Amino acid sequence: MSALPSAVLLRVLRSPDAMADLSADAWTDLIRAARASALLGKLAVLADDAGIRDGLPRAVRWAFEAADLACAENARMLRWEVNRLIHVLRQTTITPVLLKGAAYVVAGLRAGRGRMASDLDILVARGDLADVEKAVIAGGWQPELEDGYDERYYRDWMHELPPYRHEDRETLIDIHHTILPLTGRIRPDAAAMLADSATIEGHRARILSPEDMVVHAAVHLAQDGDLSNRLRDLVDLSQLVEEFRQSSGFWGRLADRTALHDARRPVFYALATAQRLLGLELPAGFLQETGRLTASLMATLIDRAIPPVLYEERSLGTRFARLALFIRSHWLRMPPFMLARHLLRKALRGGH
Amino acid sequence: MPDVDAPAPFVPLPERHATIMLEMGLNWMVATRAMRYLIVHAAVVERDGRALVIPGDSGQGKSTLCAALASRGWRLFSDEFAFFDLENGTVVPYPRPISLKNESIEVIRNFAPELTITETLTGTPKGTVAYIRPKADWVARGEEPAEPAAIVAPHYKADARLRTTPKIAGDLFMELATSSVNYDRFAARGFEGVGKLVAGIRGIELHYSALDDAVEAAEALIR
Repeated sequence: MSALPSAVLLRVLRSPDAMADLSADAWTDLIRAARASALLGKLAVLADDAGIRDGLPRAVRWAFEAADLACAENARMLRWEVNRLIHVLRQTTITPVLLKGAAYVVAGLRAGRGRMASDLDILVARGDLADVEKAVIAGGWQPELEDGYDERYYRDWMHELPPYRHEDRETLIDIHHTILPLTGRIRPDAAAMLADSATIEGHRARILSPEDMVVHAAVHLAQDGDLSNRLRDLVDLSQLVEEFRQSSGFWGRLADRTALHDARRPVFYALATAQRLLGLELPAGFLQETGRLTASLMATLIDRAIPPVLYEERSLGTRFARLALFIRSHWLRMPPFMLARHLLRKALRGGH
Repeated sequence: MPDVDAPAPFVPLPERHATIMLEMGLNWMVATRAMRYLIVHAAVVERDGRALVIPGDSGQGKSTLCAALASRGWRLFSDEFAFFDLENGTVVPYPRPISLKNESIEVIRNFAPELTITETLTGTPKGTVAYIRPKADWVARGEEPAEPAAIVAPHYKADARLRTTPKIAGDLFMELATSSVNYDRFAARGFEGVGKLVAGIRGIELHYSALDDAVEAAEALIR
């Protein structure tokens, strides 16, 4: 069988048992595709959970061992960064809410196993921003800005401060005060997210409620312009849902929070995509309640843009799909005139 | 990180330097992919199942000493990286052509005329380079590990007289840990693993100018 490397990766993500019976060529494709989409550590964990790791070819076991070590080191780094952040916030009453990878890893969620995260993303109340900024600067983090335009872009329009990089450890903190840009059409209720967050046992840090975490993962997938880790983000979403749906009433609460945060469309697209590409099981009728499939065009774009991860898979069609979704992500983040001005500015400076 | 699946993952070199590109690409892949091993920047040779580890920065005569020993009946493991398997405390071969640079090319051509050495490549990003062809036996036994038995830290200086100073286990520990590309990643396992490696191993600092003296001093360590 000859399939694109990302097709092998999707097949294995849908049913990890398939790893027990792969040809050497399929392994080559799978490991390259998994590396390119930051999912090698995840495959190692899936092989463990399926109980098939010991029977895999030696070279694969070795690659998985190396991935385990990288993930363990990354998790240590994240925990230490959280520790340092809490340390500099000790003079205040602020308890940061961890977001995305750092939240999954530090809270010990399934989505955090075998998952790398390069930055620490946190959510704090908008009114606390000045105090948080003062504290992280005192703690050795410095804002990374190219020029005054960047500064204005973040402060006036975005949902986060400019990234702060630590001067010695070179680690990044992204400080968010809501989960979507201020200029966008969808306005999630950040205050409700903070109010419903919960303490991580043993840490002076918090995580979003399960339902808000799913909404955030979905919104991030649907609106982030960075397509490089889309498949990894989709796996995050899928694993969060698989873990949280164990608790009764989850789907009802998810529908309520989706409505509260005005996030029907992103949640709909993200869950529908996870269902199509990863085989995520959803309750009958759930998608119909959250939204309506606006066009099969979107599904086509998403299916083309998410999985291709390797050089030889980047056809004209996938490049177009990615460009279209990149523009769409910005379209949703700002009004048209502002978007045109922003993209022009970025284009003149080179790269985005 | 370069996208190694892209047509040109690294800055291209002229065609006549293709072997340099191959060496750099190979080293990059191995040093970023073989991460299940504790990887130490060191040359390694073996005799009678006992490995001699030669750590050191470029320019200290690591590859030269390695080539000299390999020409005197030692089996080449690597002139670039020592791969330690912390599960069982062995070191694993990575046999590929030994890369000689600048003055060491003529030194080795004279020291071991029986070795097959490529023509000299000039003006490369690494200066003047030539490669020693690995013996068939080194390649054939490429999966046969050995116990690390001694560590020699070479310091070449023109006209220096031979001087060897023994190193204590603590120094050897630091030598390996600081020359490693991934010691941190192993956390407690790395600390314990390197501790075990250096316990009961002999180690010296070797200051030399004459290669014959250096080979003799290194061989005396394992005898």
